[in-house]
Amino acid sequence: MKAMNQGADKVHLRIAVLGMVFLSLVVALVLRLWFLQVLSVDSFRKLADQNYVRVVPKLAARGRILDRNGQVLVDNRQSLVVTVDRGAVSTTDAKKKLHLTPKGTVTLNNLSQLLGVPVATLLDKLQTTQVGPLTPAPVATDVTKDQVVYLEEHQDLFPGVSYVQEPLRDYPNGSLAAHALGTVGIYPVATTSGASDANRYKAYSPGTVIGRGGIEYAYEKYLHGTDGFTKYQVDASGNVRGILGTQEPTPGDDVVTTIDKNIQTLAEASLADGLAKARTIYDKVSNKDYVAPAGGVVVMDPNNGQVIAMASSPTYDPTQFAVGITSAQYAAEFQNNPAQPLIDRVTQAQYPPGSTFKVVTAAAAMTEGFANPNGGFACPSQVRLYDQTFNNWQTFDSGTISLQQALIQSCDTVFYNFGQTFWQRFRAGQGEQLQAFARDFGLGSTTGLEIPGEQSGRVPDDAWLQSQHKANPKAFPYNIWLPGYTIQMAIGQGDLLVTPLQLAAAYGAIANNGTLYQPQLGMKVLDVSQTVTSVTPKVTRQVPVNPQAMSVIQEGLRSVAVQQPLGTAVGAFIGFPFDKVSVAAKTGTADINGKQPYAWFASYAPADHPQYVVVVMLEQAGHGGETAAPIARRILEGLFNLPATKIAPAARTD
Amino acid sequence: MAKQDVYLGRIETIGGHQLLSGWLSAKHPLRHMDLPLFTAALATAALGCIAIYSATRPSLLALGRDPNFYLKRQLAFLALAMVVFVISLLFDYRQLRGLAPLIYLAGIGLLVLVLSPIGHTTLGAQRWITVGILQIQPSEIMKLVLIVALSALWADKGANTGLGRVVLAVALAAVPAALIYLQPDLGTVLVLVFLAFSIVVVAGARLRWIGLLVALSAGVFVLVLHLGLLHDYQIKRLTAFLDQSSKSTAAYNLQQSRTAVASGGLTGKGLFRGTQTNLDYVPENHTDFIFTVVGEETGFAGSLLLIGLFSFLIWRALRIAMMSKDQFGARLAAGVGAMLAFQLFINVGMTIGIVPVVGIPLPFVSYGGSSLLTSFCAVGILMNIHMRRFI
Repeated sequence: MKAMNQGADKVHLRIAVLGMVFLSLVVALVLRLWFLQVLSVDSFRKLADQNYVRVVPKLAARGRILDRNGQVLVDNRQSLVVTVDRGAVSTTDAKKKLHLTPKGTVTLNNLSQLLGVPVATLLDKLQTTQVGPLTPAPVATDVTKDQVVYLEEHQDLFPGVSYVQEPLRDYPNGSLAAHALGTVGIYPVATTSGASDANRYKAYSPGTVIGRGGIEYAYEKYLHGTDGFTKYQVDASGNVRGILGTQEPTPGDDVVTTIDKNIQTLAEASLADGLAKARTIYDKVSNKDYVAPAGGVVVMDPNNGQVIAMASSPTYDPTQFAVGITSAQYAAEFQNNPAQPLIDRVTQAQYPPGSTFKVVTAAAAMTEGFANPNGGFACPSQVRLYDQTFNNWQTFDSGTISLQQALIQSCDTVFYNFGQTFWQRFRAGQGEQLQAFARDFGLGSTTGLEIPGEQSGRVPDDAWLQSQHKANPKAFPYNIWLPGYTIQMAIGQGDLLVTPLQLAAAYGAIANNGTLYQPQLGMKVLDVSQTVTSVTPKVTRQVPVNPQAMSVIQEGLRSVAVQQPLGTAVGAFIGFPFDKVSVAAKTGTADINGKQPYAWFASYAPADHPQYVVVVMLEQAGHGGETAAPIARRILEGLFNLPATKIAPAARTD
Repeated sequence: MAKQDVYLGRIETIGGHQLLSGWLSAKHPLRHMDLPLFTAALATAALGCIAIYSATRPSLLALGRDPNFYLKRQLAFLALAMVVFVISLLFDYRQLRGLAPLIYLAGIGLLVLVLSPIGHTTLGAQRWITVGILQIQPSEIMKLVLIVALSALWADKGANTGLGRVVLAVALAAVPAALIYLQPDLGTVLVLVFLAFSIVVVAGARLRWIGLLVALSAGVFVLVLHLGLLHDYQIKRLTAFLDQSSKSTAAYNLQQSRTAVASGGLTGKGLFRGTQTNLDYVPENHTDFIFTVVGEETGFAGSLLLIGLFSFLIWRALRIAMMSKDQFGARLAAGVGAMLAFQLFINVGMTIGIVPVVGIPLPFVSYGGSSLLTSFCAVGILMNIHMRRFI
């Protein structure tokens, strides 16, 4: 009996040991569950939510861009887009690479035949990351109605293929104002040109159309609107099982620009015409016709800085960016094109201003007090300063002339002497007064026009030279600011660089007696309910020119196109009805080593109560009075509804 | 006599009225049913039915089929399981001892049939044979068969501790383990190994032999790994278990099942509201991964309830093992307890990443007739031992 009990006890003990083992297993499970379900629930719930919620954006229609009179510059049009549901024609491997299924290959072959697009191209488009994996991939835009009807009627040939109407950017006026308007691209592959802001596209969904330059970029936040979305519930295979919520998109606001479509058209036509004419003129110095590859025109309101037209040649059609440009096309037409049509010659290119800068030198010399507004100034054919000879563009001696007259006939020698004085003052520790005035007129820094990519130009000074010398001693062998630098700068040469827009703003300040406005392209924003948000004019600064000096300059400029025979723009303005509209103007001809001369013409009108500033710049196209002035004349005729004359080269005046 | 009855804890009369059971003798088996055991088993099965319905309803609906399809079938299996349960109470379990060789041979026969051309393949494993309209999974039945066979191996008295018995036990377990390994069904093999251990321990084998067995098993495991006897998918699952954040499909499945359970939180997302469950993120979630449904939809509370029910069943099994009149019953009951404990641990453990993924069902809960019938048959045997502990 005892033995048996001992046996039973032993069995009980062993069962109890087994029980302890089982208990430890259960405890292990419970502890692990506690860790997962109670301590880590938040992170896992996030994972679970990410699993089954797919947000498919509903893109907002982009706002339109209108001219100042409400004429449409950029619109949207409905385009038929063929899409392919990737799940129906392909499988995705672990590396997210698409593999066509046998059925999908047949479908794509059929589609290739219908659209006349190679299978390889279709396959390429299928790989897009611009839309999420659930969204059918767009493979062809602007397909015809007939093709869509065929698709509808033969759905068995095209499983997974569908079509949608999508708004595409439309340009009713073709290339008109392309540089000001800018282009669009698809986020995120096409990144921005110009300033990049990390937060700019934070809330954007892939596939969103974004502005890549010009007004499209600058007014992105208004034009874009608010995207909507559909939240789908999807299962593990990616099938949609239900809709969790939707949000309709709000279309973008319309942006009204300061551009006048008619003036813009005229400016572009005149620029193109003027450049073409310049290419027929023979240049004795270079022994060939002017190349005249490019040019820019700005028309601005001097009373508020509104840009009424800005033309840049050569130009391009933004449509190709809206329908999607391939990288090969882009490389051929833009990247490797020596004409660089994408560069805006008005804001993104900088040139020596030549004699158009003399207004700044004159204003500085008079305001600083060493040039008497009523005094006489010698205008010989050359001056000798610091053992160097500086030539006037005219080869005869004009004797002693007034400051007005020095501007009218653009006498270089008068201004060389001013330059010498500025240099002496700099050496005497009185500062770089000419540079200071140039900066006061807005040169050397961007004007603040809304659109991206604007160049700041350059006002060279001692500090600049030092840094250049330090960085590149071969190209800049001297580290002292020599007198010749200031003397050249006084006539707008040397290392001084400006953009046509900067010059327009500076001449605007002369026209309006000293207020430098920030040029603007935006006038107002119209939201869906037609509520208007206006862009207010912005004053950059009052230019510190003394009033007497200002009126001397204005008096001089209004004779440039009038005074026979010395006025440098007289030739281009023969027969112009000055009795109806008086024109204040200044010609300029900039020399760049190894290049044909750059022609400038800066003007405003009417001279006594100015409404428009017109600045023309032509690359390697001759002298200001010769080729730039006739273009400005044609534009002024249009601005004031005067009888139109033909653009013809005038006398070769600087 | 009456005094003895009181000693046995039986109530004969209530308020002077003699109870119906009073007609039976005090030691009559019908008076010693373990009702809490049966209730817990039935409750676990009911929980399983709800989980199966939740797991299968959305995908059935998405396919345009009857959302109750799997639920109805499981309820039919449950009805059948009740019949099996009752049958397993009707005879004295001690008769199993004599029948053990026959039962064992029949079980092995079925396993051989599975591997023969009659066998039926699903998901790459040959685990089923078809009898009429029913598909049976003999490996499920084999677990119970082995428990009976091993329990019968030792005499109740006398020299019980010799090495010979242990060697015989290893042989008896090795044959079905090898056959099931060939299917392949690694999970069931592991369960067989564990329950064989448990029975050998309860049978009173000396510690040195048990130690030898552990060393031997470890040796076999290492050998299997080195000889490349594991299938590719098994290696992938093992790799996924060791590197649970990797990008492989096996790891993805494990991540999804772990996410399902963990995202349930304290009280769960609510019945039929589990997104992982409803949207098919966890594969096989009505069979081997049924616990993810419980974990996601009822949370820690529901998981605890389920594990609590299992703990109760296991405790009940060990209690019956201790109460058993003979050691054959003790080994049987301990074997059933071990079966439940290891299946629970492996099944739940693999969904939450503490055990590599091996495909075994959760007893009472997973969808499937063979598993449910086997589980209730096992409960019937436990009950049988409990009922006959005085005779």
